[in-house]
Amino acid sequence: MFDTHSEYRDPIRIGLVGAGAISQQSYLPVLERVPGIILTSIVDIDPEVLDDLAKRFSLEYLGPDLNQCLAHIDAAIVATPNHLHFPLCKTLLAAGKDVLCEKPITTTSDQCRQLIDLADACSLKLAVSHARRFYRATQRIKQIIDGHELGSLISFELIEGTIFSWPTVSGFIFDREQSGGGVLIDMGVHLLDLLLWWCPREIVHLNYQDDCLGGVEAYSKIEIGFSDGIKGTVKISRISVLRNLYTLHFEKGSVEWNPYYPKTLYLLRGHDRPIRLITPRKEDPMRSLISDFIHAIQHDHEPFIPAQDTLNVIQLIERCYQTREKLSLEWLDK
Amino acid sequence: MFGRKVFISGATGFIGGRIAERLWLDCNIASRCLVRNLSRAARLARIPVVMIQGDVLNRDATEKAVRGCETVFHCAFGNTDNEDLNALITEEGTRNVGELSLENGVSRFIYLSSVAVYGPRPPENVDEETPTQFSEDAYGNSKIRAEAICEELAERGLPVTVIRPTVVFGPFSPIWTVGVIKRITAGGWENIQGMDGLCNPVFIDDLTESLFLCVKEDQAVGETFIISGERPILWKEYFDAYARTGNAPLPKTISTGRRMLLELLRRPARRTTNILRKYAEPQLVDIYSSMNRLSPRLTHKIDRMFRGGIRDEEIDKFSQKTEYSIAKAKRILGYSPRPFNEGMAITADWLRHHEYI
Repeated sequence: MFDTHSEYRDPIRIGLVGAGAISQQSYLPVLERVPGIILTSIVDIDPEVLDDLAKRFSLEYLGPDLNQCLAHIDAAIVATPNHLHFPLCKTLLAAGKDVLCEKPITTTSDQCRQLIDLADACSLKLAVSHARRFYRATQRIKQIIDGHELGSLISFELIEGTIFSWPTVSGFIFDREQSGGGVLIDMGVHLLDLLLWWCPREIVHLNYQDDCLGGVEAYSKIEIGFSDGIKGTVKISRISVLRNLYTLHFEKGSVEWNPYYPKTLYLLRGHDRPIRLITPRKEDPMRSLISDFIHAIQHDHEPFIPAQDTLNVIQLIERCYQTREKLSLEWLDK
Repeated sequence: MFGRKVFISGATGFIGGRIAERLWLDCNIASRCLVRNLSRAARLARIPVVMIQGDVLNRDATEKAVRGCETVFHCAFGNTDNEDLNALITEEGTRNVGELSLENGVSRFIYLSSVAVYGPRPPENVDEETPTQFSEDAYGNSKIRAEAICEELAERGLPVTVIRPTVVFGPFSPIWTVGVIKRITAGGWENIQGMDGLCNPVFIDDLTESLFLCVKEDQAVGETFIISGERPILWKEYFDAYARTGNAPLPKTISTGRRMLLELLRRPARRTTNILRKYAEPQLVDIYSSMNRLSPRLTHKIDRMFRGGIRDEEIDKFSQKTEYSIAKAKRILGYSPRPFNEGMAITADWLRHHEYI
């Protein structure tokens, strides 16, 4: 979306807090390619990871202490286990640093609200890694809905499931205390963020079911009804390969998007052949996300994804967990 | 019955995972599980378990997991692309888990072996007395050697029971449920005239029940049991059941000659795909995905061409008329498996839920 202008001012000194799987796979490769920034520090508690990073990067600070890193950075990316997002972001904001936090921003809405208030009070940027909003396809869907290009939106089905294979280093993701939940607060954040972005309306009906049996859920099903009658289902799984299709039904046709082939978007009308709505081309949403964050700092505007939107997602997740019903899983009990 | 603590190796796998689930659901026991690869623990993490990171070749991690346990279900086996490593995991892993179980004084050690110990061409009637057979099958050979290690440990006092399951199907079965339904819905199964071999299916919960019976029944110590379903069925019936479940057309019966002709066409197609996949998989996936949306019929035909048909090496397997006896398990354990259709009905519910059908 935005690209930064390196000539605008001095490069922004970035610190990466947490060097686990998400940082190794998503942030570090991108940070080297985004103009206008310089990676000065990495904080992690694993000595093996630090040794490895010392061979790859020349940094002003590389170690386990966030406080020592503060003097070397203007802004930070927080990519730690979920339960650490809140205390780390709080420390960083209190120290006057702009923050881009990995999703979910926090595990409770109360914590999220505190961070938003703190960022506002300190006039700092607080961005969250809801990177899917940077795909052209998801932005085109937003355009179709807002512009009533296919008439009103009637219903939706957001279905996403794949066998979990994320190379989790700490395994925090399977510990409710550290993760805040299972697949809903993990993958679900992406689906719900897009849904609430596309349909910023009051939710008047909510039914949430999952397969948690005392641990963390791996399959969630949500029925949602909005105030203007739009209704639909969200299904998320980390133990099965589902259709992986987001379908939105409008008065004059339907739109389909596959989050695993995100470059294409199809329009379906009756029995006609599907029509491509965008031309596939190379995209890098993580780079766009970081560029947007940097641009927001340099030009002092709100990030593309307002922090308030992330609060709405966390509140919805909280509501789901509070009203949770057990999925009917007959094969488990027979 | 299970004691204060239960240890499961291979708990992120199909059978170990179900043991952990049943222990929690039926007995409120949070098992201790040695987890080699945390990425595979999503299913297991749905229930309360104690995950200890490590593998059966790591004695320290295994010791930590086994310490204080009274019952051990040893399900881990080598399942990598490296045959030597697989043998090491299956054999030395069994030695490690067994020795540490012995040192920790466990009261039951249940080893999950396989009927693969009878080799790829077993006789028509097989029971626990039938001699095991080394062959070209590395997996079966490794299981024979692991059983021998269990026997050694039993002589030193480990209360071992060895279980040899047949074709285990049901929710999460990677080969005999997920693999079969994918093949069937892609049109990838053909009945070949004269290929009328027997399948010995056992539903996953009947297998787990048999394992629990081994813990309960004192007479099971020192014994080996074959665990299969109520009776064998034809492989054709097994695949037809999945076709009906998936609302797929029932597989056609074709002559051996026609099959050979089709195979002549398919073989180079498969070979070409494998080469292309090696060098341009992401691009191929993109093209395939677009085609699948725009012309699903065409991609289905391509699927059939590349994935369809019975492979040469499978003909032998699906032609064998071996019947595995469960008489000993019935007599000593009181084992009583459900009819195939009951297990299949539960499996169908699961397949629907996970959108395989």
